[in-house]
Amino acid sequence: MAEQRDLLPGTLDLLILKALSLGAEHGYGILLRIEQISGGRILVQQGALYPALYRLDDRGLLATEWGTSDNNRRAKFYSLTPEGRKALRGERASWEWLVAAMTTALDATPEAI
Amino acid sequence: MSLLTRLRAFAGHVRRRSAIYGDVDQEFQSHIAHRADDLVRRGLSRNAAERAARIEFGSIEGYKDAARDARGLAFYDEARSNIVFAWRGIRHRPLQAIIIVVTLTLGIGISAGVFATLDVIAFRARVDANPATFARVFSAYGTDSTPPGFPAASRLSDYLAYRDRLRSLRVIAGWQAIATTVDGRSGTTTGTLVTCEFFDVYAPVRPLVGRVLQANDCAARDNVVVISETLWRDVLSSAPDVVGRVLRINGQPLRVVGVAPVFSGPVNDANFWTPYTTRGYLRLGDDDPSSPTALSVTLDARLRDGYSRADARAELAVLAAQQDGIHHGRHTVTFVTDGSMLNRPGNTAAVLTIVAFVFVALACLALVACANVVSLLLAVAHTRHTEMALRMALGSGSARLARMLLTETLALAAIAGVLASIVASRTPPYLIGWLTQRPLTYPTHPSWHLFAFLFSTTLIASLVVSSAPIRASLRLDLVAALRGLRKDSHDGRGRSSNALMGVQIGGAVALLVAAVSLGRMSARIAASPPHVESRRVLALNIVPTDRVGGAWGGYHEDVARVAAAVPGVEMVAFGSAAPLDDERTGTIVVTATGTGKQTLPAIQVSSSYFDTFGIRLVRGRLLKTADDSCVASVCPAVVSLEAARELWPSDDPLGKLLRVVPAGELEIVGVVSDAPSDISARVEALMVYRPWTPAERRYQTFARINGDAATATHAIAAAIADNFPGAVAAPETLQAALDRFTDAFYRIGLVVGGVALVAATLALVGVYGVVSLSAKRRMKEMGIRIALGARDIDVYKALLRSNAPPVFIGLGVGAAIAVGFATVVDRVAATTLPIPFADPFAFWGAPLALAVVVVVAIAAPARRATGAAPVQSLRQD
Repeated sequence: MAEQRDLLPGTLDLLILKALSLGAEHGYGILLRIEQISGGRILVQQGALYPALYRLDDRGLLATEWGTSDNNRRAKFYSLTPEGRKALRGERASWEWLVAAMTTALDATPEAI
Repeated sequence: MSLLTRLRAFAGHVRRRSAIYGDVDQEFQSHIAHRADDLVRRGLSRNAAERAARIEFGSIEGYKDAARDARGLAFYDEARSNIVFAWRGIRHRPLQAIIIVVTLTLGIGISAGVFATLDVIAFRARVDANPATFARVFSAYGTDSTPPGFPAASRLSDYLAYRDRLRSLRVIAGWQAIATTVDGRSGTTTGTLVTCEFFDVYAPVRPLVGRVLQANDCAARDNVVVISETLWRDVLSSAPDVVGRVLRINGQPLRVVGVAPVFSGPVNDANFWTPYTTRGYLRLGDDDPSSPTALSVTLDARLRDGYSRADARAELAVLAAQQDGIHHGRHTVTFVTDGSMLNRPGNTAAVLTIVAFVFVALACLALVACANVVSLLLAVAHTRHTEMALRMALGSGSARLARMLLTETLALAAIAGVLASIVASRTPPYLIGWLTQRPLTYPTHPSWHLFAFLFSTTLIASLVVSSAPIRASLRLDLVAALRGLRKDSHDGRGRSSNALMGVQIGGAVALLVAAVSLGRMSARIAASPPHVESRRVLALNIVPTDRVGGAWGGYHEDVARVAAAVPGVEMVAFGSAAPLDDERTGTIVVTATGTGKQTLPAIQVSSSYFDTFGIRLVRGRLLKTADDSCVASVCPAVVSLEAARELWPSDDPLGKLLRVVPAGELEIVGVVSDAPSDISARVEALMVYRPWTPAERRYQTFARINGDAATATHAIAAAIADNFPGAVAAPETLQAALDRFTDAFYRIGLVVGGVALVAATLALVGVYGVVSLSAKRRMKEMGIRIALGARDIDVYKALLRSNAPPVFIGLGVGAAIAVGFATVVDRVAATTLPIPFADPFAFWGAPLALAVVVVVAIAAPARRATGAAPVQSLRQD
């Protein structure tokens, strides 16, 4: 099993948006998908997922619908709205910019100064 | 996401909150079931899998709270539960809630009511619509040799020039108040001469009948008039066919064109409005704009869209300079204001001083009210220690409890704020009408200033009164509180209670001293009358038809002849003002040998003035008829004793010269007694009497009588009406005018007295409450003392000893504040007040009276403490 680390603050929203960009899912399914797409390295505290989901729902980035899961259980399914897709693009661009900036900063050597 | 979208989402959540909570619950259960299914697939039993899934999920209640937070519902739920808590608190302690609401209503309502009255009188233009576009223009005229005078009305010729050329003003009108006779009415009636744009400036004035004045009325010089609703009712019995009927004003027929409703106009009690072009026709003076005695008009205007008062000021300065070019040697300074009394040139400092004094008084009341409520809330806080401890033990944080307690106070303050707004909005008409003793002829609708004041006062009051009790509620020993034990100071109260008691007493004393000082002012004036024959001299108050300057000599001779012929009249005199008439008394700037420039009050008088008023000659001689109309470079003058002392403290004033600025000299030929009473301020007695110039201008006429004043008044009024067509006389004794002036102070004193009484009552209730609580807490101690042999007097002494220091400190501090306040008032308003404000009786009388009542308020709870049961107290220990 890969090493698991705590999430950086503010990254859960981006992960949820990414997970849902791959298809509609219920809460527990989103957790499993995040675990799956991060190669098992990101594990979200189960209950902590929901406040983030409700926040994104309130911002109009998610659409919700009650349905039946593969386990034949009633579950609330989340999917991305067009605004959600747009927000994902924006958040991703910001993240990539930050990663590049951080990498540049961390790769700096005394000679470069 | 926009704020509107957020608010809409929040409103939706609130509306569907039950469904949302159910949804969250179901979703969490679904999550746990899915996880349990996974764990079962991995080999756990169903029970073990469900248990493990629950543990992995974490605190369901915690995440529910977080979910509520995420949807903004936590705020709503807390606010709702805080309101429920507040409502329960109010229901459990209704008496305390009522006392708090009544106290805050009185404190805030009276303050806001007085503020609203000040707002109506001083802070805004008296217009019904769009005060932001209103502008009032003042002109100060000077010459090459004299500086600009006091900013006041503008010359008619200037108005006509401004009207046709101003671009920053949409419309500009001029007006002048007049007093005339109106057939069917006794005495004089106030009216207004106006330019025909007047009703455009004060629009909208929708006439009850007919129309208002129009531009053509002035252009065609029509003799028309618009009358007030009051005049329509009084003189024409509200006849519906009033339009076209004739009303005789100053004996001249004017055609009524309309009836105006009550509206906010510039003149109090104005009962008719007639074009300025009727001035000559009504025998009120010249109506030729180029005449030296042409009408002067106060200018009111409306700004054109996109222009400010600064634009208007700049434009007027240019136009005034052009007009000065026509009138050689004249220099005009113009001022443009918002029309409020506050911003009238020269008024700002005086108005702000009065406002500051009023606010000090209101601050005292607000302080007492707030201190009273804080005392009560502190008492409540002590009884709530166990409840607060329980809530803390169950996990409520201090911040959460503080918000709960604050909501309770805010709810009570909000109720008080609503009640106070009713009190405040109804106060101005009553207060202004009562103070001026005249019916109000303009609306006094509260403005947004009042509601801003009310909102901020209520909010500040609730925050101030709640902070200390909240801290007291939450500052507790949890274990001791849960066991029902209480930590008290040795005297059953904290230091804050002492401070509050002192504040209440101090504020009440300061107000009581002010009330007693003002209330006794008229009695003090009556007890020490002025040194003039105020009851035997009538000021005739004649409003004659106007004459050209230089032609008044005959008028004075005629008036003297007619008045002297009236039975009971002993002597007739003329002067520019009566003694003690600060309003009409002029000033001169003089330089005495060896002194700098001094401004002194000065009156021009006829030779009989001194004997008529009974002003005694002390040294030298009085003015003689031969001194009248002095054109020499050195003219004779008489000074009052006080003026002589001021100008030449150690020299003989007789023969001394006073150089008058800008030209001329006065030689002192006599010294006369001071006119004001012995208790008046020294500056009131300063006076320079100069000879009059009867032909130059109209002087006030005074008649000394030897019989009944009412009989003489009627006889003189009739004689003037018979001998001077168009003239009106309203004689009254000098004493009547003085009484009217002192009556105003008496009435202000009553208002302050009412406020002081409210403050004192609140303070007494507060003291009683604090002492009662202290006595209740010390019942056990008193019981033990009694068991050890203490007598009733010892119990009284014990409670008095612990409560007396804050009371007496409050009394001392309050009296000190009052003395300081009175000293400042007497320094600032020395020439306005008839006698000094500082009243030694008030300084010791008011605190003493309050001290007696406070001792009674302390003794009542102490009496109860003497009934403490010794056996029960000992058993408890």
